[in-house]
Amino acid sequence: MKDEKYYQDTDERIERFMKGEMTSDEESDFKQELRSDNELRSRAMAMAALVKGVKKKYKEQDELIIAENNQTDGLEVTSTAKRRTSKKILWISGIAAMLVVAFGLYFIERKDPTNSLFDDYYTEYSPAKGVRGVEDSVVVAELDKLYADVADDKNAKKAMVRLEELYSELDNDITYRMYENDIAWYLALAYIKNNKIDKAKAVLEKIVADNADAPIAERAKKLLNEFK
Amino acid sequence: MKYNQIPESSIELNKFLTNEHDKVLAYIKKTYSLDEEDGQDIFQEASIALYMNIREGKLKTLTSSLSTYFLRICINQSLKYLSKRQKTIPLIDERTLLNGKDYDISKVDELFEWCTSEEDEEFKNESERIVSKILENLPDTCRNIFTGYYWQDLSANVIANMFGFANANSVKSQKYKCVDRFKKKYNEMMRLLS
Repeated sequence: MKDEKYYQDTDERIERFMKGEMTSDEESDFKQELRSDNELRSRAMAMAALVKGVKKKYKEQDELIIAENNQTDGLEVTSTAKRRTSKKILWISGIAAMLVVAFGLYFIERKDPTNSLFDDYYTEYSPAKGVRGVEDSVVVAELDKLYADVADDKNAKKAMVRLEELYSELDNDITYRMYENDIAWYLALAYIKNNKIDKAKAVLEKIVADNADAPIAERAKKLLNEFK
Repeated sequence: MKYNQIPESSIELNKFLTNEHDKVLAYIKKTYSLDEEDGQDIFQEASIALYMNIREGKLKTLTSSLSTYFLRICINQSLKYLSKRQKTIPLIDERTLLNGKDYDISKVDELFEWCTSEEDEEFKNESERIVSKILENLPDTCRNIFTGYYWQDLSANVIANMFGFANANSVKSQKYKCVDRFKKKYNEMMRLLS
């Protein structure tokens, strides 16, 4: 059985190829190995896709930042930042903020707990930026509408039914599979909105099981804890 | 986190600086033995410097990632600070900041095509979408390591200091597990395509 050292060394070889650090003989040998070793080929393909993906994603973000700020409109930026904020001001601001929050909470009516839970965890959908094909844009638009309907009393039940259909077909449909975590999350919220708590818990537990340590799993765990 | 001197309308820049804050602060504090307050001041001054450089068009021909560029500004500000206070300035070898050569995108493409025997553009586009989706859903540890290694080309030592790993070997160990995780998900999604 191959150990961690083997995989670390393999990854370094793959990275050397991608950096153009191999000699032509080394490259030739490596390519021959890729032909015959399925596991190596699979790993190399995934790493190449990963490096391309990371570079593309962050290059687009960097270009957006530079374009956003690369404008001369006569705006002067004042010199150095203020250094040390007065601790006394911080203290007074902190106490004032606490008093305002305490005062506000005193006057808030208690809502139905399920509605309250839904409101605490529902946020509007924010699809990732990037260039999309026609089919993908249609899917994102459909999901955007569904997720908005989850929060709308008139359409919440219909949205729940449609999300259930999509959720049950995820294993077979690559298009919606790309959005599986969002679909699962909003389905769980739809169940909560429609008071189907056991179904919500089942979906949330699957999110946790399938996405260990990822941010969505943490959110799902937090919501599951609310039911205890 | 908002920066007083950078306009609120610079939404993407403010988001960028928020993302960079914890890791860069951790790195300069550890590397230059700075306290929290000095670290924060240096970060804020570097943020202004970055904003001004962008506005003055100095980043039109940026060859590194914006994160690496910003990290270098923070390092320069840290060294200036130490020099003003006549503290011992650590000898920094630029080569230890980065992890050797940058990735050659033509070699990356070559490797991908060799492994897939696919030249179809649609296939490549689908692969890119799948990667983007997987990256969004990775745990922060993996995303940080991949960004550090494959976008910023940082060395394992720098990544260790930024994210609180024990040492470079811990980073490499975690990286291979993250690659495994990514590969598993990627292959699963790609199988559905075929």
